[in-house]
Amino acid sequence: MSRLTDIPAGWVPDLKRLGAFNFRRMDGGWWLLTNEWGRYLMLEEGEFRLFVEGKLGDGDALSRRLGEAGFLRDRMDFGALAKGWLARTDFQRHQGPTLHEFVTTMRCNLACRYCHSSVVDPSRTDTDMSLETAKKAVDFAFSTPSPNLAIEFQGGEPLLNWPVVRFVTQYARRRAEREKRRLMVSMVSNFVLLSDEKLDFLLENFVALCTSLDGPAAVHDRVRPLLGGGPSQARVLELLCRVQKRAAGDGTKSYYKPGALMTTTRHSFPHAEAIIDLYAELGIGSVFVRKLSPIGYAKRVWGEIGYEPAEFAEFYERCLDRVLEHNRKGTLLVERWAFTCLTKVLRNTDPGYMDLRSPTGAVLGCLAYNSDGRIFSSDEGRMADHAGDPLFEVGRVDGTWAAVLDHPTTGALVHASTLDNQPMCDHCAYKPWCGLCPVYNYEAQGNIFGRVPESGWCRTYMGVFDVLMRKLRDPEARKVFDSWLAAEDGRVAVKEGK
Amino acid sequence: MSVKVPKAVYSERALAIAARTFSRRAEVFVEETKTHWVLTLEPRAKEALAALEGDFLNEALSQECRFLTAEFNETIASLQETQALLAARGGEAPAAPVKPDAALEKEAAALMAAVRKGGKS
Repeated sequence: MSRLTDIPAGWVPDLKRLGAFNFRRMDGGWWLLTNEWGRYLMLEEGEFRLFVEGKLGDGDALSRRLGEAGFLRDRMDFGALAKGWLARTDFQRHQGPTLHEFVTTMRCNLACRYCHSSVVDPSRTDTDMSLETAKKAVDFAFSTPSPNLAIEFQGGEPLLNWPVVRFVTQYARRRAEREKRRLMVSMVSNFVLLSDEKLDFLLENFVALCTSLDGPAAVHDRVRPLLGGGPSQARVLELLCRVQKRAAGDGTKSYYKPGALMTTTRHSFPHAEAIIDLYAELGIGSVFVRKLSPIGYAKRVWGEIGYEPAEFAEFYERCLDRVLEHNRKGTLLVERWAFTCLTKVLRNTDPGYMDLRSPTGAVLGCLAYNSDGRIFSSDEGRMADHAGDPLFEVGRVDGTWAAVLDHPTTGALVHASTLDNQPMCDHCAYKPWCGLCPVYNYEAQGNIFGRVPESGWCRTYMGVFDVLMRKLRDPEARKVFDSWLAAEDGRVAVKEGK
Repeated sequence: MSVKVPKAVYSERALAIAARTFSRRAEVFVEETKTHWVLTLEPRAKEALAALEGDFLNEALSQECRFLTAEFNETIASLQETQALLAARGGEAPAAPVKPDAALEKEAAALMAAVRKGGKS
């Protein structure tokens, strides 16, 4: 943490010359410096001491680097630095939420050990969203002011309430066309019930598809069995390949090639390399090594499948090393978490990841529509309700957007997740790129502010950022990271017709 | 189990928030002397009292620390919070939300009917 007491004994800081910055001593004895402008530098111990003690000559290279990046008080180029700050915090000026998560049903045909969504048996059709509620939910989403909207079908398993998926897709497309708003529709599904007819509809209507794949059968089937027992991985792989083939076979749909997400449990630990190899072999192009959160069913089975943040960081590094290895051998495979963080670090822009925002993306960037028409601050907030605590309900589909923003919970979430209000975050070197989840804090520690020094959230993100910072110092890894960002630039340019 | 903590370190507000946070774990009763709070913690389930006391005081201290940080950064934090909420509203004079017109409502009804006809599959 960035307190003067953390500076080695005997150093005499030149407080008049130092700009405002946070710092962290990294393993290996070097120092990471960051500032609110979103700029960073990695200094060796000797360099850091010269900087802190104000002993750098005006003309030397390090002095120039520090000055350009806004670390020296008498060398601020406010125009350039402010431009960076505006780019980094662009989301703070977004007009309303872009991501609208539709829980079309709470039913599911899998019995995942960690299911965050805390789903119910397929017979419970009473948990399906009705068409009337679905229409109101679309109308509500379109009542928010953002010119860009994304509707994401979630569950439960969305394919179990197919009529609502069809209706929402078609109705939202009509509205977007009339109002000249950009709309993206996506679906997170286990694919098990995906028929040819449904796939035709989804591809024809440009619905982006994403599934869950936790790795080889030994890992996946252990935590994601079919309801009533039995393996699901082979079926998921078969369908994933089918969808891939269809999307790849049509140039107009290639942008919508399916994605897959993995969730890390304790059972994943022995299989880091095999998980990454499977993703590389499938040609999906990306893998998201996601942490597990003690929310929903996962909270109940945490003792069996949960882990300490340090264990996750170790696993994450093994996965990232394997990803880098595949890239060096010529396979473009992007690790999404690294990509998200590095977009912030290297490009100083916001990649649109709700968890890593200050204030958080809950309500301001996303809303979750429950199947009964209640609106929650985020999908995690909805899960807390399913576990019996409706604290994160902020409105209803027949209410107004203004009323959601004026809801006391919204104000509390915004305040609790603004990092300048949080003791440890305020001094953290990773502050310019990080964020807090009040729902996580509430579930794990009993209130929305949390106790950051003991928070699993904080320790996990610190661990991941530590890994990424170490990798950034490796020229070979840096080359791969730069290639990911360049590929994304190209993809965005194609999408925007540039 | 009772513990005495100095008023100079722990504010009543921090203790109240900590007590609320711990309400599932323990009942907290507060009495006071001129210089100290006297806290009595009654656990709801059997647990080590020393750990409970330590956790509770950590929570209170964390709240206290948060107040100080939030006070110190009040200007910049409030600016960001207000800016984010105002932008999300659509600016200072947000446009009225667009409501579906009669033609769109008709289209929606037709889509709904078609979907219903198609059944659950």
